[in-house]
Amino acid sequence: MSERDFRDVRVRVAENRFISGKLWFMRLEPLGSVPKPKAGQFLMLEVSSTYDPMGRRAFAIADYDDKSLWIYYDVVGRGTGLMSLFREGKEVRAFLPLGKGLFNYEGDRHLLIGGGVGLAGLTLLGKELRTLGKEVVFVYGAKSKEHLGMLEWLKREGFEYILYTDDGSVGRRGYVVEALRDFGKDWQISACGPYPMLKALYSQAKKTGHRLYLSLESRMACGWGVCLGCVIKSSEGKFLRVCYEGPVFNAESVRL
Amino acid sequence: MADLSIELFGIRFKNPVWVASGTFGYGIEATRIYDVSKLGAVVTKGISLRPRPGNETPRIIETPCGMLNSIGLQNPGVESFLKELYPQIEKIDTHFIANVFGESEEEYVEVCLALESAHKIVAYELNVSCPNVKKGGIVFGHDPKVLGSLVERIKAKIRKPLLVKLSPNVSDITEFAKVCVDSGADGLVLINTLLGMRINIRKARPELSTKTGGLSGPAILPVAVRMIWQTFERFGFRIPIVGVGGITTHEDALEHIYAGASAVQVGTANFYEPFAPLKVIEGLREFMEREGVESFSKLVGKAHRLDIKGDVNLSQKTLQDSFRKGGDTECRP
Ligand SMILES: Cc1cc2nc3c(=O)[nH]c(=O)nc-3n(C[C@H](O)[C@H](O)[C@H](O)COP(=O)(O)OP(=O)(O)OC[C@H]3O[C@@H](n4cnc5c(N)ncnc54)[C@H](O)[C@@H]3O)c2cc1C
Ligand SMILES: Cc1cc2nc3c(=O)[nH]c(=O)nc-3n(C[C@H](O)[C@H](O)[C@H](O)COP(=O)(O)O)c2cc1C
Ligand code: FES
Repeated sequence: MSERDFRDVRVRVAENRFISGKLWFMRLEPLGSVPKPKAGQFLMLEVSSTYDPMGRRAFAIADYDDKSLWIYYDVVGRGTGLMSLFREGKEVRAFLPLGKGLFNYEGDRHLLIGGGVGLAGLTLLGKELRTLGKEVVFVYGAKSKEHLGMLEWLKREGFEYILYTDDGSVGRRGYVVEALRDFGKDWQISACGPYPMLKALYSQAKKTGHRLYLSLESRMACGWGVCLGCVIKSSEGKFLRVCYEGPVFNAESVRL
Repeated sequence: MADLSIELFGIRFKNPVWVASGTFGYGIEATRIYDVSKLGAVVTKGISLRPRPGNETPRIIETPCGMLNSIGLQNPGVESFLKELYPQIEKIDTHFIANVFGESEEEYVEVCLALESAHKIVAYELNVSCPNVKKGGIVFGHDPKVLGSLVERIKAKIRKPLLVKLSPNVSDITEFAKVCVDSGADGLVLINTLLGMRINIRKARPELSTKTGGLSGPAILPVAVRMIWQTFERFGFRIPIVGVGGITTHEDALEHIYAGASAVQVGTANFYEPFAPLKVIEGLREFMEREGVESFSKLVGKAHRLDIKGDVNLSQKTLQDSFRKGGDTECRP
């Protein structure tokens, strides 16, 4: 039948490091073969070897090298709290690569807007667009300076970026949505971050006429399309699975 | 190799390990993970007469060793199922069982009739955990009279075997099993989810859009085992029981089987252990070979036969496995 492209692999923690704020970085070495991840795809990580918590946790595949997959994660609850305790050498399982990641690759100029750890949903896209010879600018916003920990990645990769903080501790004071004013309609927008930010971007893009693609998050039990827990309404009012039809959607096609 | 095949209600199954309704879609997504034809059977997501959009979100929330769901039986309706999904499952070489529900007796009958000529569907599993609109919203599975009449009515119209999936949210499940036996059901499926609720204390609001939801996962294993035990104690082999509730490993499955289940279904485990059903099949096979069990049926209801001292002869490996399960490290397979 169809290709067996969803793999449940053992992965070894090669690095697990606190960056700043709530943000951590983890490098995972798969002990079996995995298909090459595409921008927008994610994995479901086993966070406990017991049943409490039971569910795996979803993380964007932020980047990868020859040997390992990279994730950036905020410690926000029990699962991510347990992850922060993983030592180097620990083996857990990861189910991947999940989701379609149908971003917009049209046009020559791309503005990628990440709110907090949401930036991790756009990093691979940035690299793919750059390989295609497109102009890429990242907009990265958070509450304050210490919540912009993924700056290390942007700097190392040499991307052009604009920072926003709510308190003005670094970059411009204000919200990422304001960036739309400074870039013309010929800029394609892709965004990932908290819902209020995506909603604000959606209404702003309607006014400015920008094309907008969103990488969404929602509560997920399975991550592979069978529980129907993660759904969002399409603009026609039908439920779509964020994990399977998404997580990337044309903003026009969904109701936020 | 140990023979895991079984015959139930006149149908031969490759093995007694099935996947539970609502935890495996229609079996199509799983073809991207493994060879679905290795499963004993796939029970479909609930199918109704007309399409149902399902509930608003949030639909799921985690709980200690389990989860609550209120998906709201989202499904495309039987017509679209036959047109769009059925052709895709026809290629999968194992049996399918249609999980069916309705809001009136007629709706149940119509869905079953629409599926009668679909040869991949070998049996129906009635989900009776939904309200009967005509009877003022009383849940089919919560009133023995209403349930008996539903089963009789469907049985009179269909040719394929009819399984009834009982709700655990009743005081004496054997009373419901009894009306199913008396009304001619071919099998019982125990259990559906337990009604539960969680509250988000930061927002002081229920976690789910529907406030309450169905509890599933490892947390409900003992409830399922107890209900299978009680039903088997009362009816023995008069009606086959299919066990479902909290199964992740073959050890969990053995508890169901020893309590009286002739087959089992893996549900929520599909979410956090995508390979769980295959591991249960392999685990049972290895167990039978190691312990020299020649036929699966010898295991069914074994815990009721108190004259048999099963444990004294268990192999070292099996004993070690059971220690490991209670130990502090890896509980998962
Ligand atoms: C496709 C996808 C990609 C994601 N990528 C990343 C990523 O790259 N980095 C990252 O830090 N986080 C990411 N998330 C969010 C991450 O999955 C959650 O933060 C994590 O599951 C929380 O687990 P926990 O046990 O620590 O928190 P819990 O104790 O379960 O919950 C704590 C808080 O987190 C919220 N939460 C729980 N699950 C989710 C979820 N799936 N999505 C959003 N919020 C949730 C809860 O509502 C609650 O407010 C992603 C989510 C999805 C769906
Ligand atoms: C997300 C979800 C959806 C479900 N949908 C159905 C359904 O459509 N029909 C049904 O009879 N049971 C449904 N169930 C119940 C399961 O089939 C099973 O009876 C229950 O979850 C207990 O088994 P488990 O602990 O192995 O999950 C659903 C369960 C879950 C978790
Ligand atoms: S998380 Fe289960 S269907 Fe999307």
